[in-house]
Amino acid sequence: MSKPEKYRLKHTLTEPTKTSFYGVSFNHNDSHGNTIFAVVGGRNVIVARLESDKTVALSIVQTYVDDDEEENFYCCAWSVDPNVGAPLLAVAGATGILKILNTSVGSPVKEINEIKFHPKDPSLLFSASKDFSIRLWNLKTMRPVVIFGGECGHREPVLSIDVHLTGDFLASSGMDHAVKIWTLCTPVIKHTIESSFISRSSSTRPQQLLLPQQKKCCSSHGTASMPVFAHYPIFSTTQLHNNYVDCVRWYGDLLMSRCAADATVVLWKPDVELVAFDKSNITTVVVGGPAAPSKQQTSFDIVCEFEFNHCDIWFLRFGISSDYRMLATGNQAGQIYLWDLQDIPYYIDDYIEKKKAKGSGTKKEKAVVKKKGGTSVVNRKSSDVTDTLASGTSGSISRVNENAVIKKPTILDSDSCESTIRQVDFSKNRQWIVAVCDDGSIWCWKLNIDIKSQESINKDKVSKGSGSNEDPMIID
Amino acid sequence: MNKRHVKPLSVLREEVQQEYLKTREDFYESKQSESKAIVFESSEKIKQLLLENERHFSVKVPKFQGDPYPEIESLYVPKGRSSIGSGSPKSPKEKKPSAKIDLNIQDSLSASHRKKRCEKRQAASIPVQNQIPRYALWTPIIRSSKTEDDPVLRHLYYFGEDSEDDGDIDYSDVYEESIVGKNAIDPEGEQIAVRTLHRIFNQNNISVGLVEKSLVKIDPKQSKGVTTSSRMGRSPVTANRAIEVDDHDVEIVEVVVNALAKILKGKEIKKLLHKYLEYARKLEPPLSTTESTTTPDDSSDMEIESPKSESNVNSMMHSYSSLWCRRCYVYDCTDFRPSENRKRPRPPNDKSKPCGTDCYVHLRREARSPYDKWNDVEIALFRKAALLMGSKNYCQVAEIIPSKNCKQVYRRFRALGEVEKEQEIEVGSSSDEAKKKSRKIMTKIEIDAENHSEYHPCDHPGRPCDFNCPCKKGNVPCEKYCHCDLDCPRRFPGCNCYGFGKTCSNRGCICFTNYRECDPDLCGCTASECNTNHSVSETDMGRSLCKNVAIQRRQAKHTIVGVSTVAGWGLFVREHVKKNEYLGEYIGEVISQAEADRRGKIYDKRGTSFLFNLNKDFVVDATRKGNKFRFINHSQDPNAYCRVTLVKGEHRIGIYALCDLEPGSELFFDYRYDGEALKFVPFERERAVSPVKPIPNGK
Repeated sequence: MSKPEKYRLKHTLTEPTKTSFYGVSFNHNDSHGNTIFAVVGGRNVIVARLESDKTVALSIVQTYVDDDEEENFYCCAWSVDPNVGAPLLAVAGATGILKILNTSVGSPVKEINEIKFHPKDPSLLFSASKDFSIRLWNLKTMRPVVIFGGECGHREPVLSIDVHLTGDFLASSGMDHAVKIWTLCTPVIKHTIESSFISRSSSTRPQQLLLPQQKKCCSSHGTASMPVFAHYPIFSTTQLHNNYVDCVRWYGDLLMSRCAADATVVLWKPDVELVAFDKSNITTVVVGGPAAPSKQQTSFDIVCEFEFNHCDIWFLRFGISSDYRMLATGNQAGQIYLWDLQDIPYYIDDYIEKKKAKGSGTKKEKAVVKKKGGTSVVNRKSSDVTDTLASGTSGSISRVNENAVIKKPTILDSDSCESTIRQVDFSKNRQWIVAVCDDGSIWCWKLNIDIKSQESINKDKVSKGSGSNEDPMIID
Repeated sequence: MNKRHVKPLSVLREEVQQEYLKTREDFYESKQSESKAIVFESSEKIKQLLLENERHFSVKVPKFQGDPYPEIESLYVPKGRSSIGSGSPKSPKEKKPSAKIDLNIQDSLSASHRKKRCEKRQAASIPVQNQIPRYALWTPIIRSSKTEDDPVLRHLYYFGEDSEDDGDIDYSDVYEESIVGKNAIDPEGEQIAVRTLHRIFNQNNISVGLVEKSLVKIDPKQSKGVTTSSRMGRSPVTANRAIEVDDHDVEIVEVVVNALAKILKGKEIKKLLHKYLEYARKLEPPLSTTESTTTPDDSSDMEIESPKSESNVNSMMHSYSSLWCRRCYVYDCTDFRPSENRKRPRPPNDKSKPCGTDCYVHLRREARSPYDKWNDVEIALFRKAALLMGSKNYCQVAEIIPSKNCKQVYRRFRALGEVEKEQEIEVGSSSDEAKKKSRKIMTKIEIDAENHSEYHPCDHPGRPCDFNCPCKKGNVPCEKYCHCDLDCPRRFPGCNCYGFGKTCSNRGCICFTNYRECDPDLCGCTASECNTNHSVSETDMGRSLCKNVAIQRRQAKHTIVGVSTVAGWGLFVREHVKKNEYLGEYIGEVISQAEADRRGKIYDKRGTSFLFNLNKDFVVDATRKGNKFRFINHSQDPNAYCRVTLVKGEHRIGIYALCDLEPGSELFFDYRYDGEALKFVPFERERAVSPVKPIPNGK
């Protein structure tokens, strides 16, 4: 199967004012072979480039500072201007104002906890916010399209969202311990999204043919510019997690999520049919016809769990590489745990084994309200010595070879990094991992080149051409 | 009852233990392979989708020409180059960016070689955007709706990073149950338990119905939920049919469940049984659906000549009529209990005018009647109409049946021998006097507006409205929806403000003094008259009209939500409003006092509350749902006040102007207007009182 991939710490970046960095995101859309990432935190936005073929790979490209004293950025996401192809960086945070930075011209839009772009349409942006709602925005026309929330929506701030690869479903999780799945395929929402592209501003563009259609939709809808409410998710559960669910990601039709109380990433299957509506059959648009609440599903199956250590605060997000091969998460002790997702069957065995061994009585602790900032100092050295593999400059050691059955995650660990790692992200070809910390430091880890050359024999592997002008691609 | 092998209970207990372990094993075994398959499938799908998206993107998005990430300095030195994209800053470009970011970078060039460098970067500034006041998501609704109690603590609440004691809030005094923490549900364990139950019951030949029965015995209160949930007759409930239950069977069930509960260490047995029933029903759904769809116990519908098709029509009509809500005029309304399918007393029509040329009045003198052919639908309609309208109101019955005229209806009535009662019409007309009489008595009833409870139509056939009557107990008068006699002395008679200058808006009107809106069905005032003029003017065609109908007619003033002059959001009027004029209604979820206590606990802690006492039993909560009147701010010096008014048997909160208002003035009312009654602090004020602090860092 897969060989252990060794990452080496290459760069650390510290910000003297020690402002926490909350979000990191690589630009996966970049067509120039650039490995560009953005980190946000406090009032700062830093855009940096990593060039694998240079000895000093890291270079800062752009920096932005928000003039608003109250701003504290929590998250960022990259997209592309569909007209020019210029990269767009969306940042948002405490003030609740979404700001879109066009990095090519250096200009910029309740607390927003996470933002995500639609996988198929670069101008559709989702934001999860403290006001219990998830909102869909259209960047082309700069207006809200759909509000997910209300009757059966989240009852507490929404912390995390992720869009299904097909772009038809949205998973969200929040402080009400709930994970919900929303569909984007109801006729109302589809229609609203479509009509959101045609607006007053676009009428000046050479799209005159679309105008009659716009009129039609206006008359059928009355107020075409108003966002529609989606009150009913197609799936909702509060039983999976016992505390704030601060990160949720799709893995195909499965979901991965983590809650503040447990240092585990749970891979599970929601018991809901993820089928998009047949578009061809629906001709009439039903206004205000959401899915009936009775259709809402609540049951699920846990597939397996990825366990790690030292994590009992919230707002700590894991990352999945863009090709869904690796899973990474940081913890409060400044370590990064890496899992190869091809090993999932082993983790399933593990999980089942553990469940069987465990007595039927499930011991659950009393749930406590968690803090966003960790107050306790974690002494990682004393506990779990076996799991902690000091890598520092010598690179990480994998334990996979020692035991063929029980797979362990790789741990990236640096002596000097002791702060809470808030988010981890992979570059598109998984060559780089960037982690951002509470103490205002950024850590860049690079995949070891020696191992990479060995790997190149394996056709299953991602080609890692050292030339940065070559597009990284996925070979199946 | 089929014969069953009777096992000693201790053996059974042992069996349960073994069975449980076996089921557990099987469960995980199958799960293991299933999970693997799922994951494999999923990863395959991902590969496919990733490729698809990649292709999609490369087609859709053009390649960017030029440097996508130029240096900030290079952008700012030449002053040309206007920025594209909406939301671009208005600030002049030649202005040097003020902020700088210092960064210390440590490069590990090789295993031993590290280099430090320091970068000072000029930062582009992101201009300050105007911030609108915050608010939590709320759903706009047009009328208050009842929300059921939720006594289960589903999650812990977060009150911000700096509140230290939030872990110590004791929820137990208001929440009955908690699924948080140690009480959390373990879905896997539950599944295993349910499957174990299924196996054991199968082995012991215990049918689903039997379990249902014994569940009723074990726990009569909880199982009520099962029966009511299936009131539409969709899911089979054998429980309410009389099946004898062998005590021994119940014992078996009990022992099995108890043994299982022991293994599971104190899991809720009843819940498990309910889960099991769900599971079992899913497995064998087609069996009992047919037998349980017998028409509901309304024998009056099923008398003479009932062909098959007619009974179908009847059952159709049954759900129609029993679901019809007389109070909000919709089918299957969620707010009121479904009215019992019983005829309400209805004043007979005074038959002065014939309804048309085909009216039965003309027919009376006819000696012989021609034969009419009635089909099933018409017969069913006729029955219903006769039941609803009373058998004497032929004209109205005929109106309901479009294909038959009044004469034909009359003839049918006569054929059924109902016309003999005809004489009663004349006798019954004396009810007018009764009405007058009751009106006098009514004025004596003390209506304590401060202490009223929710109104439920009373229904106690055969007994007068004495101390047992719910209306009397709840300190509310009988309304037109009650089932009591028309001349019940407790019936509210309505006002009689007819004449010049009477607008039912002062103490002279008994509706007004009793905190009610005039009812067009009861009142002698002009409440029933059409008033097209939106703002109820002084006179209409020289007569004054009733002003005490604003809530039921939704004659709200034009108001808009805007940024408040005080804090957060506020509500402003857009038109001239005179003193005491109706502004709008305070709308929200109608919740019970117990639920309000639960929610209030959280709201108090957060310092935001939209709770508004409605009456003794209910509270309006505009937190999740409401209308724009939830944005009215508090002031010591208010210009609006609110009044809880009884409108068509429902308490509603009207907001009225305290003085004349100019367009554009912000509305305020004193939340403590009614002492403790109004606990209402706007969410938005939070910002003004304690400006949002940046989230404290770990260190």
